[in-house]
Formats: sequence, structure tokens, C-alpha cells
Amino acid sequence: MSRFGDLEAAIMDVMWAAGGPIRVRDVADELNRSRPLAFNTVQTVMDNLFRKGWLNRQKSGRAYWYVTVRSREDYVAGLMGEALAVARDPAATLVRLVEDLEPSEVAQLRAALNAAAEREAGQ
Amino acid sequence: MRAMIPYLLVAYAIAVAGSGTWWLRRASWPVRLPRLGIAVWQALTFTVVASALLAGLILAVPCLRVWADWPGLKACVMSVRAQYASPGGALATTAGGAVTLFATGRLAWFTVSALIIARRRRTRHDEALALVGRHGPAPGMTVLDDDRPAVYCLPGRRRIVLTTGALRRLDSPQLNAVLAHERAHLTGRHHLVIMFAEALRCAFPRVRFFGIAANQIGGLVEMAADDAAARRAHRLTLADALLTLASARVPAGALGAGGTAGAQRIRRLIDSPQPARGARITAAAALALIAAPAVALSAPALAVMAISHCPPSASHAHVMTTAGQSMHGTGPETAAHLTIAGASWTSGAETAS
Repeated sequence: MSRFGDLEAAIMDVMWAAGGPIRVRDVADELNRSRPLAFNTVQTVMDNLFRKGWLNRQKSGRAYWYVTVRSREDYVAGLMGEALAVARDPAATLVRLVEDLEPSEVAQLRAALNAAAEREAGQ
Repeated sequence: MRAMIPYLLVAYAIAVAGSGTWWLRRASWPVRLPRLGIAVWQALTFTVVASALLAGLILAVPCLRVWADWPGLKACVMSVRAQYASPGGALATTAGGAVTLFATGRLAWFTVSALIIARRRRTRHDEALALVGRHGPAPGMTVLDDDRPAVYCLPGRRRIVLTTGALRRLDSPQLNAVLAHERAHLTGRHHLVIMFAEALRCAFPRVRFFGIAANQIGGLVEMAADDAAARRAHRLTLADALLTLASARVPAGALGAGGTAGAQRIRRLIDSPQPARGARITAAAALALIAAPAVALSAPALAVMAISHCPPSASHAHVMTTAGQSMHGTGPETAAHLTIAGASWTSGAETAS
């Protein structure tokens, strides 16, 4: 993770909460409610986020107005898509906990599990 | 006989792949001792790959050991030339060289590209997680806001990800069991085990053996992580957690033949197979059986190459006659280098006479 990892996340939270185009000044003011941050720091990190493709910006007057490229839900959906992908992943990018089961298997396994738990409790 | 070594190696690779697969898939001990099972599958895979590559290499370069010294190099060039002089030898050398180069290149390509792809995807995934995920209850844990239950780990990043859907469905002991499973994956570097097995499958899709090995290793890796988790939590707790997570995701109306790998895993935790007394010995014997022939077969192959440029004596005259006039004056030591090249095409005459 980058040096500004946490700050990037905080800025994106402010951006998503804002819902519309806002300036660096507005973001810095919002962040300053919880922690003191230099305007330049916020500007640098927002510039990074723009370069990484997380934010779009447009110059209006003397200031840039920033908007998010995609909604938070879009990103979560993308991550979940990778996490729940059905296809085999030869590169083993992620290691998933459990494969999908058939409905009939679920019922059988649940019955077997209950029986085993009762056996153990009886001993 | 020397000329037969590459073909014997190929035959050995095919035989060991076939019999090894037949036996390992029927044996019950790999499921009881998954880590040993993984080791045996890996040894089997390695043996098959090594024998095949060595066979190609011996065909292509009949004088592997002589590159170090100058007269040796000269002799080697001459021996390769001598081999090319016969039609059969030239064909074998070219084919052996081409196949070895092709196979090595393909394997290297698929391994390296899988590593690079995985690294890039993980970096991207991790960056997105850093921005949209929340810190989990333990360090290295990230929580994603999604009602679908999912738990997974990002190996290179040592990060475990859970959805709110998974957190909501698991109680505290179940959560601990699940985390222990994921930590076992991370500390065991299971992604590399899977990646190498899959790289072989992708590099040689027509060789069914590698596909079977990748499937088996993939299943055993999960069982190994289950066993590690079962040492920290009760195995029934883990089984319950896995079943809860999997059943919440079952697609409605999707019906298949059953007997999926996931079901086999959970069944194994419920039934709790005790490692049988003999299982460990059988497994160790399996490892030895697979490793020993590889050593035994490649050792003579290497030994032949080493020996062939030491005691010339008997083979000397024979080389003179086959390699021709250019040999005169090079001395016995250099001449001896030629025996192995000569062998590949004079052995036919020997057996004929």
C-alpha cells in the first residue's frame, strides 16, 4: 500500500459522500474536522487519485473540480466479481475459501453435520 | 544400449505418469495426509517433467559434460557433426533439441506470465480494497460491504478479505476457524503450489496427466489448510462455517451430478478420518518410489556421459572406424568423446551383427 493509503481512502469517502463535483479546498475542510491536514497534502493525494483513474477533474476558474469516476458500489461489485468468479484462475490470484455446492449436497452435509455433532455431544 | 537411454526415459515418464495417477487417485492416504499427498503429486510431476526434458537433452547434446575444456569442446563439435552425418542421428538430435527447447520455453513462458498476471491483478485488487474496504476486526483483515458471503485471501499481500454477508452469518468460533484456514494458505504459500501445477496444465493442455495433477493438488491444498485450521478450532465448527458460507450462495435450481470438491472437503471434516498407522509409511514409500527411479535412471544417463570421455580402450578403435580420418592424431582422450555420439548409430550395427 502507498504511503497515503489511508488518506486516499478517506478522500474517496468524502468524494463519494459529496455526490457531485467538489474542490480540493472542500475536501481538505471536510477532512480537517477529524485531523489536521495541509492543503498541499490533500492536493497531492487527489492528484495521485486522478492519475490512477479514480477521480476525474475539470478546471473551472482557478480551481479544479473533482468527481469520482465510479460509485463505491461499482468497485465493490468489481471486487466481488473477481472473488466469486466461477472460472478457474491459473494464476491463483485469489484463494477462495469454499467452492460452490449443489443444493442436494447442502442438505445431506447439514444432516451429516448434525448427526456428528450429536454423537460428539453424547460422548 | 546408450542410444536407448533417451527413449527409456520417455517410456519411463509415460509409465510413471500413468501408473502414478492410477494409484494416487485410488489411494485413501492422500486425503488423510494432504500435505504428504501434495508432496507426492509434486514429486511425480517433477519426475515426469525431468525425465522428458532429460531425454530431449541427451538426444540433442550427446556430450553434455565436455564443454569445460577446449579439446573436449572440439571433440564435442566433432561428435555432434558425426551424429549429423548419419540420417537417423541428425533427425534424433534435431527433434530432441527442438522438443526440449519448445517444452522448456513453453513452461517458462506460462510460469512467468502467470506470476506477472497474478501480481498485477493482486496489486489492482488490493488498491481497490484499500479504498472501498473497511478495516476488519484483526490486522491484515479487510471487510467488504456485500451481502453475499465470501471469504478469500490475497496471497502476495497477506490480506484476508471477508464480506459483511460472511461476517453476519458466522459466529465468533466459526470466524476464527475460517481465519485459521486462510492464514494456513498464506503461511503455506499455497498460491505458488497451485500456480506451478496450473502452469504445467496450461503449458501442456494435451497431456492429461498435468490436468489431473493440478486438480488433485488444488483439492489437497484446501484439505491441508482445513487440517491446519482444525488444529486451532474444532473441525465440526469449521465444517459448519464452510457449509453455512457455501449454502448461502447455492444458485437456485442449479443441479448437477453432485460430489463436488467442496462437498468432499466438508464431508471429510465431518467424518474426521484418523490417519491410519500404515498411511504415513505408504506415503513415504510412495515418495521414495517416485524419486528413486528418477535418480536411478538419470544417474546412468549422466554417468555414461561422464565415463565416455575417460577410458577409451575398447571403444577407441570402433570410433576410429566410424568417425573417419579426421580422428587421427587427436589422441585417445579426445577420441573417447566420440563414443557416445557414435553409440547412437553404431549400436544398431552392434545388435545386428
